[in-house]
Amino acid sequence: MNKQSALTQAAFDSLLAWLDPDREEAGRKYEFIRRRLIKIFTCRGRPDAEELADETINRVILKAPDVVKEYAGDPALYFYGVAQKILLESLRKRPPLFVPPPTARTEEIEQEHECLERCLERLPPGNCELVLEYYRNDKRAKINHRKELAERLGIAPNALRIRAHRIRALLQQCVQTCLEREPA
Amino acid sequence: MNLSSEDQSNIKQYLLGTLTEDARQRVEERLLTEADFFEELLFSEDELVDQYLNEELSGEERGKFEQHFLATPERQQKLRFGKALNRYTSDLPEDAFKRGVETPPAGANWSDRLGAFSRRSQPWAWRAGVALALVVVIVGAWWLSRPRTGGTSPRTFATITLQLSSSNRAEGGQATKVTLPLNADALRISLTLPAHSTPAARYRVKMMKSDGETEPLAIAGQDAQSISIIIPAAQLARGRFALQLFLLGDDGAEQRINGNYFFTVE
Repeated sequence: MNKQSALTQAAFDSLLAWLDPDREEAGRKYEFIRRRLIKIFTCRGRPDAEELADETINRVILKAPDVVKEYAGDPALYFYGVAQKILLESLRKRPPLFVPPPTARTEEIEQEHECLERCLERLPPGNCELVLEYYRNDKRAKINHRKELAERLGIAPNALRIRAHRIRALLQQCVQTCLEREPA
Repeated sequence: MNLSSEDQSNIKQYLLGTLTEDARQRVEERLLTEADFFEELLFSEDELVDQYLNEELSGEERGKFEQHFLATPERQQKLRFGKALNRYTSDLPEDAFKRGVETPPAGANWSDRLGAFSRRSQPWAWRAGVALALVVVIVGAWWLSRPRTGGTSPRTFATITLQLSSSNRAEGGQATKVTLPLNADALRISLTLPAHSTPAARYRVKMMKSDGETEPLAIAGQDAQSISIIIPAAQLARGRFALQLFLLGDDGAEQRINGNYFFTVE
């Protein structure tokens, strides 16, 4: 291990210690912050969101040994302050460029359909029907329909909303993986 | 999770990029410190995509959605998935949902699960008839809705060249006509750029349909005088269309080129 990586490891350890005395919990908090930073950069229109989040974390790691002594408050907000600076710097270097989504080709649409069908089959029992019922394209009766569905399942409408969205997120992830594995 | 309607409205505005700087900072701080607030943002992203696809956003919101929300590949994937899910649920027969959510046995495939909707306490013959009808409807809906062209990139093109019209409405003979069937794999549209255009300028194109729906179009080629876009024949529908051109600045700002390129599909 060279001096630079040893220093970085020491700084990283002190960052984790700052996040939580328990190393496992600190790791969870680290992931929590990283995921949110990526989302914030995405919301600011940055296609390189992941890169910027990692740059933010690296900069905090380098400062961590000193910051820990002086900073009072939620460490996540310190990350946010650094993220704002990184964002300004990146806007100066690489202004956002709007790239319109490409129109899906016929074979891509067919591939998506197949992947979606395959992923629906892999969902745990009950989840497939739930997600299809929740998202059925019926503009007029949507609110009443979802209310009825929640009643049938014996859960509150908001609990149904949360369940449907979580299944949707899993489904989207599955379809994405499927498309990457078998591009049209 | 029980956020106020004000919080939900703030999240929606944040996603559309319409919050003031102070309000945006407050939202971002909460995203970093409140797990529920972050989860609500994830849900709102999906709901915004659905509202866009179901035409439930105002004109201004649609514009912000296209320019701000769709600015990253991650969001464009969300839109693509939302479209796929919409298509899938629209293709399912209404009957599929009437019996409600029933938990099928573990390991059942999707067709077994779909069958589970309609096989409670029915006489055998009636159930068989329903199942057969369901299969016919599903296969028929799939067959009718599946795109007609093969699984390869377009090889033959029908080409039209459009001039920029300063009018906001296609009147009289102004709009170029395209007749279906196209007798080609795709329609190539060449948009003549305004005089004095910079050769290295970058553009984006938006297609407006007669019902007000808009769709961004990818640019397939560009030279000093024109840019070209390609629309697969399977995606062409009858109607009147206006194409709008936007000049992209180096600072990321967009400038709409006045006027429209009109064409009709008959």
